[in-house]
Amino acid sequence: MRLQDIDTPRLRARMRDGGVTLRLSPFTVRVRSDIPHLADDIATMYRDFELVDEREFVDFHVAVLRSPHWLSRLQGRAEFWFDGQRSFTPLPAAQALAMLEWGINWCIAAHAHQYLLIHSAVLERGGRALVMPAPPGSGKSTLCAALAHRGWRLLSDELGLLDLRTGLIHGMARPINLKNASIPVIKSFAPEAVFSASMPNTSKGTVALVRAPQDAIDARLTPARPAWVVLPSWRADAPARLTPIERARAFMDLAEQSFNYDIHGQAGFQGLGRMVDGCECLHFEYSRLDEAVALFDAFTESAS
Amino acid sequence: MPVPVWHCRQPIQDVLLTWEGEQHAVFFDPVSGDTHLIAALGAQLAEWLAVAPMDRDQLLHRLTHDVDWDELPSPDALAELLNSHLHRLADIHLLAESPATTPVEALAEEPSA
Repeated sequence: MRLQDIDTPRLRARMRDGGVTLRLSPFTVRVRSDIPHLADDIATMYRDFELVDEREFVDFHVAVLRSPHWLSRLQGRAEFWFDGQRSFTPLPAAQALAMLEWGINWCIAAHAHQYLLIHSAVLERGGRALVMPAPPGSGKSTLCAALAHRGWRLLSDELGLLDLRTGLIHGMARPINLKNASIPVIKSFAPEAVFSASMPNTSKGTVALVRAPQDAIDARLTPARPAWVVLPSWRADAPARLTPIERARAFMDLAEQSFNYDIHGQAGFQGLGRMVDGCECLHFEYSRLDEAVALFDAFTESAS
Repeated sequence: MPVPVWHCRQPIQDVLLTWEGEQHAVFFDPVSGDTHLIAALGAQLAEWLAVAPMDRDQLLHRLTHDVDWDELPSPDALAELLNSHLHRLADIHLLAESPATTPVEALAEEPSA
């Protein structure tokens, strides 16, 4: 059964009561909320994701609930809960979807140490993965959204899950998180993209989520072998340009952008080394998405 | 007069990543858990010292003859370069300097039956 098989009133009721359990492979997440519009947002963003039988093991029990405190309630605030514990500062209920996404990211980053977790966008073409680790503000998610709507399969815009045993990288085809000016840019670049409502005044500015394209959701269980590590940076009016960088530099950037590299110790060092060994490492500067996508297409075709 | 020798403190194949033609390498310190970006020349020193301990003169000789320099530095500059690399690599626990020992002292340290 998929989420879209439940109609809106039933979904709202289930989320308010016991919650719904989504298979966000490789994890299962039970989501509970008493905020009706969050149920609607989840229905839009995750409509093709499977619901898990109630008896199955759940990795993360999360909830976004209206604040019980009278002042917070008056201000229309909501809280994120994980395993029965309130986490993070309450936010306006209008930001509930962003709060849920950030909360799930946190759950994974803080607990899923069976993977080396890399803060990166991951896309795939021809079985080969493009890994783009980058700090906020580098244009990573914008580029990721553009590529995901131009023939690249989205694995993740935020979290690359590297299996140190197999060397394969997994994604979850969850929504892409766009901020501020990136929102109208992608709306114009990919009119077919499905957006959530924009959520203004978050700590990151205005945020909107973009549903993963259908091909990405259909193939979300298939990992890919990393082939390119690309460090993107957006610079106004810069022509699109790919420049080779040393693997040692790419290694250090990947380690820095990993949430749990330190926890893995020597195994993480060696696993990341194997990944970098198998990748071409590049810096990518761009300003215009059409130009960026064309350059990626040409580059990856010449590499195949 | 015996002189101190340098040696590699780690099983290098497990803790050092180098790539052909690159100016940098990566070293993982298994004691602290820290990862360091180091110069390729430092990695080369570590690789030599992993095979056998050497003193400064032996290292200078190898630097002079076994490195493909674009322009060989002057002896003073090379000595200074070696010093800076050795100290940096000692700071991050990749290399260590062993105190000087004479053959007699070395024999005295061997366990007796």
